[in-house]
Amino acid sequence: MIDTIYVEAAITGHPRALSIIHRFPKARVIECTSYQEVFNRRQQNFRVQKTHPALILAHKSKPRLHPVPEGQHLGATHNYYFSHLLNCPFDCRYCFLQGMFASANYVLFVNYEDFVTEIADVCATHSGPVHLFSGYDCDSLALEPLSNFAAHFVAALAEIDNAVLELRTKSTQIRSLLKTSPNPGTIVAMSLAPESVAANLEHGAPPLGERLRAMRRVQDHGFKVGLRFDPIIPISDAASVFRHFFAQVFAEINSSSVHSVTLGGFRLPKAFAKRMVRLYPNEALFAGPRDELNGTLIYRGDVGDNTVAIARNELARYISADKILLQHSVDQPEIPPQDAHPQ
Amino acid sequence: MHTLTNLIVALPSEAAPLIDNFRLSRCTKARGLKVYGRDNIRLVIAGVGKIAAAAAVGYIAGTEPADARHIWINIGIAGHATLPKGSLAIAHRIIDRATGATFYPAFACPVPCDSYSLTCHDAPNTAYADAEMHDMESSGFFATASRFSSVEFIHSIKVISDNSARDIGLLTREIISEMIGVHAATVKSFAARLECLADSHLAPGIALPLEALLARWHFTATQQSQLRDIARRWALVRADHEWPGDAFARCKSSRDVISHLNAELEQTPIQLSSSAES
Repeated sequence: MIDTIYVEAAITGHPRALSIIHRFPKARVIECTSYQEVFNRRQQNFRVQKTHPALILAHKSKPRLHPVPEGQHLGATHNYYFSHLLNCPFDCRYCFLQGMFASANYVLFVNYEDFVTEIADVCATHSGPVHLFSGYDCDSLALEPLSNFAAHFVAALAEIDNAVLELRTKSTQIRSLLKTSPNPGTIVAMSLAPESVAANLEHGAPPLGERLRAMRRVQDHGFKVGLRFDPIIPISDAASVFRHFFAQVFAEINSSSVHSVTLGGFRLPKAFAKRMVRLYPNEALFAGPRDELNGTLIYRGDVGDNTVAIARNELARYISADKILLQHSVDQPEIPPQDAHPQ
Repeated sequence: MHTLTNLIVALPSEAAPLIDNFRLSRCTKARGLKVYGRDNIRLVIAGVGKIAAAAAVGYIAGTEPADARHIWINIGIAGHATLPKGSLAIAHRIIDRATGATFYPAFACPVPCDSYSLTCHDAPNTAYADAEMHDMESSGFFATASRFSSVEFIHSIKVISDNSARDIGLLTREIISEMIGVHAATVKSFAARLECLADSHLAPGIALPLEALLARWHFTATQQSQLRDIARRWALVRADHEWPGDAFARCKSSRDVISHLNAELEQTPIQLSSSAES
């Protein structure tokens, strides 16, 4: 429940801001000059704020689209990401946002129309498909009842011929999608992990079964779906765990109509990892064996095992190799830049 | 490491009911400021103004152990154009009238009263504009406290004492004490809530003791930092929770020790079931 809303003075009259504020009549509304004076200031504790996040309503100025780092896409030539929202209501212990942002408050940029205009402009400069990732700095759907992000963007980007929008989520907030006509320019991608990983590390996120049922409904409705197994957390007995896990996934999801599947090892920019250890000094996840490569820590599983390779082998029972995209693993040394790992 | 709750007040009449309610005693060792305390609670009578408030915060931070976790609460009277006299309010934004600097306390737990913007003045002011509270301490208090604590643990709680210049003239020590006293239990309860939040979310890392290793080999400052990190990781992933005594027999230097311990850690997988800290 949101009980504190910061709003930039310049957008206090914005209809989307007013509508959101109206949803929380008991919230204290605090005017600020720029979201950055609340969100980016020093001496904040991400872990403490996560217990009681505030909402910050802001205007996003240019540039709103950013090129996707090498190795973080689905094979298209033109790839961009954008963030209508910073942060996420779930509390996944491995999430790099804990190390990237000073604050756990949600920042919602309400000027959706400016995003769409900029996307249209960028797409006009390319002849082929342009992939647009919306879930790098947030969960694309988790705050949908509040943001109406998917409802707005799926319809708006359907008007742009070469735009392909990826909504990446762990949430089951699919109501607005089910009310929308599916179009070939939208991929609804679900982040999934074995139940033991989800139960231990994905605090507040829906359980695996609920996510799979939501994905099935989206798939049945006609949307393209993607499966995101990233990060693969190094675990003991990986072969057995992933065999069972993928059996669960593909008992619910029709593998023949899956758009794409991505896998990635558990890796963190060293500076982010340092901050995350400071927040959670007693978290064993960050204490295990790891390698360092170009400023990134790559966490390994059991000695001699490569959990990503094991998962990939098990996944190959269900999905053809050409649909499986490795984002990064120990045996794939290309490292993405530090500021843009997908959840 | 322990949590200290620090109450910063400007006037003795504001302090009196808090000293009673928190059952505090005068700290005889304090110099330059009147400090009261008990266990993990401190109260400083800072004097009027933002510089005095800043000095009080600095005094406590400088005289307590460096690893203490501090909660800072500034309590006092404030003016407001319309709020009923005697009502309690908490600041959600603090503006330094002289410099324009703006601070935002963060609410990480439920608060005991409504919140308002608070403007801090360098001199007494009775031109109460808008729906803001007015005081003379909050900006110095917050700016200094935020050097020692994160913003979730720094709050200004005010009791509305006056709606006009005429009201200020009528304030006496007794009236001020009575106004603060009405809310002392509420302040105490809020302080306890913040302490609970700090204890549960700012807990220090567990680690194996380093004394035996530091006594046996000479570690540089950098190596000691590496050793502390190894000790933390070791305590988390090694089930035995002890240093491998036998293995040290082959170590001839501090570098050997770090290298050996690192190598052991790199051979130790994490057990997910033990990583359920939330």
